Amino acid sequence: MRDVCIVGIGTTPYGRHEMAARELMTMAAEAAIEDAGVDPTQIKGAFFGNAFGVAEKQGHLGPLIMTALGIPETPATVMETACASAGTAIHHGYRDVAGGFSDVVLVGGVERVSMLDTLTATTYFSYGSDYTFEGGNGCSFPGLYATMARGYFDQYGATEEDLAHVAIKNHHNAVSNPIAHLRKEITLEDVMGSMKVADPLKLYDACPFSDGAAAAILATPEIAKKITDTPVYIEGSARSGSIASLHDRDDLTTIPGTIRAGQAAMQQAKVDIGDIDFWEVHDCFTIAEIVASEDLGIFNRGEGAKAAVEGLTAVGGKHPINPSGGLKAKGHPVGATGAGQIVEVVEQLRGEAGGRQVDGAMRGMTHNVGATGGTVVCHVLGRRN
Amino acid sequence: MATDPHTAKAPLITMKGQKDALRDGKIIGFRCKTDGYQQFSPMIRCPKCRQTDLETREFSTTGTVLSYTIQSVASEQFLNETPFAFAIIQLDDGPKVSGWIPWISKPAELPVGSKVTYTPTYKPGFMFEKV
Repeated sequence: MRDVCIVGIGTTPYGRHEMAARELMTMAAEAAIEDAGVDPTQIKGAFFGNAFGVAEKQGHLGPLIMTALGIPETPATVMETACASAGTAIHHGYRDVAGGFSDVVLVGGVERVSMLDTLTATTYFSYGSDYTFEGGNGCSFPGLYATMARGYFDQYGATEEDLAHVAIKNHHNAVSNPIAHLRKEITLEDVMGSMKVADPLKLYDACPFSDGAAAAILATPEIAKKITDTPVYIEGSARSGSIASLHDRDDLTTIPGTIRAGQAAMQQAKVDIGDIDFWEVHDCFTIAEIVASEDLGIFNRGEGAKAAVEGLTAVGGKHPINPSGGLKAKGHPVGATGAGQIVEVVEQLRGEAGGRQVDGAMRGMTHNVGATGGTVVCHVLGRRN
Repeated sequence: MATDPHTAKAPLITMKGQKDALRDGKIIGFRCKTDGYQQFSPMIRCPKCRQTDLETREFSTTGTVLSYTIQSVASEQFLNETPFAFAIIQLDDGPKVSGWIPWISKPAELPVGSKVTYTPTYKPGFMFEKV
């Protein structure tokens, strides 16, 4: 297997866009191509994440994007693993380069849902659950994570205030992120006073519906050394699954796929928790960041809830989590999120993250979850001097 | 009956069959004959022991709420039901199942551990009511 580097990154701002998914993905891809400085004809394949393309009445996005990029002969594949779609696309792009099939590939993801009203968007998102048993029993996506949250409260005695501190921290980080969807500080009172969406989760526990796209160019180290002084190595890339429905799981307070994908990515990278300078984890809801931080091994069981309260996960804390603002405040364009996490880690490792920069960051890890963990993708990225 | 080994076998009970049984007030799912694992969701292989020797089984229709949420914002099918609870329920004799419980507006109305019973309805999903 060959080493794989990230040689270029691109992203749109996250938020509401008038442009269609195909246009957003093309913009982010072109930004990554220009950042990498590759000749577009060097790109031998493309892998994109997208979950709700049919909401725009458009399937088969790949060739539309490649045509707009002026490389229509390059084969493109859209992958769907719900909110982990882009992480999955990056993993398969990685395998394409690592396996020797292509020397340069384009990876990324895109989502556009803001043209849907809240009721329609809530309904579409519930299709990502086990619809017969979960969505079909009236459970929304916030509802699934709320059910996990109540299980966590019951087991570990955590509180709604503990969750609120995750939201406050991620909003604070997003203020320094020029592409973030929600760039404003929030207070404990704001969170606790926000409307219940799915008890015990409130509006400020939840990520927004965002539009956006993000992309990266992957290449062999030989090509990377020719075109960039700051290649970032993909040191670990791993996926795992979990039992699809919450009711079939033994424990509501853990996502087994995160444990497996996290350990596999870290083993491949030959690193431990202490070797990782920061994480971008899948905080679609505040409880999700806490559960992830325990499943990834950053904190012991039941101790993740106090980490944000105590400042351990702040930029400048012992284990910074979601310096970008996370899904919570940077935003969550579903099929783009896994690629956006990669963009953040590369910016951090290049030292280009401005007011949210993790000092001296040499290695970062991403964690991208589809639905309630039916799919999990983890990447460990490192800079080498 | 098909005997060609390449012809796909129908499951012991289909989701349509499960829904028809629910209309008659019966919760029918799967039981692994090898290790006894039971599941309401479709399966052709036991996820615990990976064996395929399964049977269908009628579970009890009463159970205990393990965790739940109160949906104040719902999807289209449940627009007129809010507020209600979506719950994970441990059946008294059977596996855990998902279901919904009408007329729940605050946590005090449904403490974890509440007893519930399955009630057939024309409404969508699998409705349980507090005992």
